Amino acid sequence: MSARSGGNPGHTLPTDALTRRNLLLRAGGGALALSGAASILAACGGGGSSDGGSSATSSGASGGQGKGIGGIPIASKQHPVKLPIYDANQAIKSGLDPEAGPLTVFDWGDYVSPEVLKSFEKKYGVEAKLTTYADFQESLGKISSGAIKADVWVPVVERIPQLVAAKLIQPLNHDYVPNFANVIPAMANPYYDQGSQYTMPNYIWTTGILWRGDLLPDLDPQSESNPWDVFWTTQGIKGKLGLQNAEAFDPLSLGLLRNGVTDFPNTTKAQVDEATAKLKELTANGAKFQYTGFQPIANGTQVIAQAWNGDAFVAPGYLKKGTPASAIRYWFPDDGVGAVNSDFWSIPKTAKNPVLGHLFINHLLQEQTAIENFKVVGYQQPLKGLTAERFKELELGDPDLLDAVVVTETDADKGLPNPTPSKDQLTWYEDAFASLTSGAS
Amino acid sequence: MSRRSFYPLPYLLTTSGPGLAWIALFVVLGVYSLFAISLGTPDPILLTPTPAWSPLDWSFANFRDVISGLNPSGGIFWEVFRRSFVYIVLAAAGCVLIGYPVAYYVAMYAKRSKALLLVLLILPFLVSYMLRMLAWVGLLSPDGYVNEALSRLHLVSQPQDWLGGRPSTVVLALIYGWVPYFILPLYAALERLDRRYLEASADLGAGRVRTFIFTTLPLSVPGILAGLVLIALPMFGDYYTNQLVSGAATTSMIGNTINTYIASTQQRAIGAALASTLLIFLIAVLAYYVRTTARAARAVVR
Repeated sequence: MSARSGGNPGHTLPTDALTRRNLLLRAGGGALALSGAASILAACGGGGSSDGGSSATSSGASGGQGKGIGGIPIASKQHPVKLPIYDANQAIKSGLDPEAGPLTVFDWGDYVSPEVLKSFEKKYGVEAKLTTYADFQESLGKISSGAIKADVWVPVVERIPQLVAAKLIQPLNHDYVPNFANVIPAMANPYYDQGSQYTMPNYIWTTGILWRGDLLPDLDPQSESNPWDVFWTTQGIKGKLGLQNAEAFDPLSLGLLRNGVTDFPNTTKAQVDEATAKLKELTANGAKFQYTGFQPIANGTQVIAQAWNGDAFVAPGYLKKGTPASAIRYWFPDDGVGAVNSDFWSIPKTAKNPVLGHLFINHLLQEQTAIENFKVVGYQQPLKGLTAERFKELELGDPDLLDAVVVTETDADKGLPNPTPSKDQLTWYEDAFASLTSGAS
Repeated sequence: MSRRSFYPLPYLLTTSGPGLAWIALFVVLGVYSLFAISLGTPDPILLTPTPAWSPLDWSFANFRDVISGLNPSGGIFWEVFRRSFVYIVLAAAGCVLIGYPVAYYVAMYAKRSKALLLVLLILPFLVSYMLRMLAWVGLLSPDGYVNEALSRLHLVSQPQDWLGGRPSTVVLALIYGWVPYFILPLYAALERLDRRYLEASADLGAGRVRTFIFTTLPLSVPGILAGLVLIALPMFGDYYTNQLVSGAATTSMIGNTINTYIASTQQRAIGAALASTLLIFLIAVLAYYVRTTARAARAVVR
């Protein structure tokens, strides 16, 4: 799951791969030492999902060749998908008055600026309550079991077919969201939801190479014929390199790119095996797996890491005093051919305040709130006019770093999202991931 | 329940009631949930792990995956299991070597300083395990105090990368983290040891060393085993120590693999099956311990 917890590292206890959920669960140390206990807690949240499943099955959604797990075709940039609209799950009518609230926002931890919630409350005179999760599966369990009746929710792109087939999210009425016009063209009609029937973009981010310019002065991926190869060719990084593991596909994407494979949706077993073999050279060289790379890079325990642009944006704030911000370097290909992912806002079927939910999404899709979010969260909304130049005008960071981290329209257009895997691919990815993270030879 | 019942109702409702309810709710139900999830099939649409509460619905697919993963030739879990076993044996041995003399001294020789020493032994329990470990992360970091001290003493020429995925760091951290849990039960056992045996041994002409080897040590075996069980079982589930002081794939332990399945994959039920398998393995170890100590107790009485 794209557990982008620590999306706002500035407000997160930075403990590498330990998400706060894990920290809380394991704070008992010995008492919960058998990690099985955690799986019980985690899995209990998802226990009540069978209702949602059976209702979708009865609506005729069935799996099959070329179909995704939810019975809906697998979406990719080459094969955009128009999601089905079911009779039993229609968008709200136009022209309704906003409900009295309070609005329940169900979001990743530290993934929206408190100021944005406050300005919404002020504008509409309702209370906006934030409930957070650190893990998509956790949020899915709570939504599908009805434990939480949220008005807006940020799931992950790869799981949209399941959310639609199980009627967990409702179609959106664009009449309430005039600010949708601010979304950049590349994201206004996304491949995963043609016509944006169920989703509105939240953040977009790149996964690139984050390194310490002061500790690796000779490193310059841009000048290499195969920039991704620097993880394999750079000397003196043993035990000081990081790989991303928010999802099983994350480290794999680096191996695939290194091997010149860019058709992520159609990977073959051989390509996955070759990428895995290549990545095992990195784990043998002491590569560590982590959700976010900003902290180990900032404190120097790592000198190079596969990381999000958001990691690069916040990393200078974690450098030791006296180290210049320019020590943080980030590279992502100019042509946009690298991992670019995004997430989205949706309105759960069970929302009690769907009109307010629409208005909240509308509130988010404007430059002012996007800048507020960027400052606090470190991630960027795909809105027109939010360019590196604009952020430099606002003096939001080191100009060179802003050039490197800001997602361009080219990135959004040409970028390679983590694919929605077929059942076979899912097994390959997760087996590869398990053997990589367990250091199997 | 009749009055003749083995466990009279008044007791069940009063003294042992809360404890039994607690165990039923949080241990029995918890462990059953773990097995139900391991034996369930995922929801077809949402892929969420769906527990199979009724034995009629059990599917052993996840356990088959785990068992084949534990195959020494090419199974994806074998290497990590073998590594965990080796680390834990080394860490447990380290705990015995460090912990036994401490417990022995405090129980046998400490006099006026005993109260102070006991307080010092209990002190680590007052600080969260995680915090104690995080403190070491700071100390061992490339620009931390350990490297600074070593370079000032000219013992190292450049900062050592202690946290860069060294197996030795992981084993030492495990020893550091768990040794207090080993010392206390061993101390209690040594303290309770009937000194008349030691006197008898001396009376029969055995010197200090012979008395220790042939009397004290055998008598303290139950204490050692109790300490070992107390530290070895949680070490099998421990993954945060490893995550904090190494994090490298080459040092990851079975707990890390379970966590990986729970946190980062869509196959959480495999994580549950792995945890269940580990639980069965540890119950077997525990059963062996219970049998051995029962036998040892009988031997002492005889």
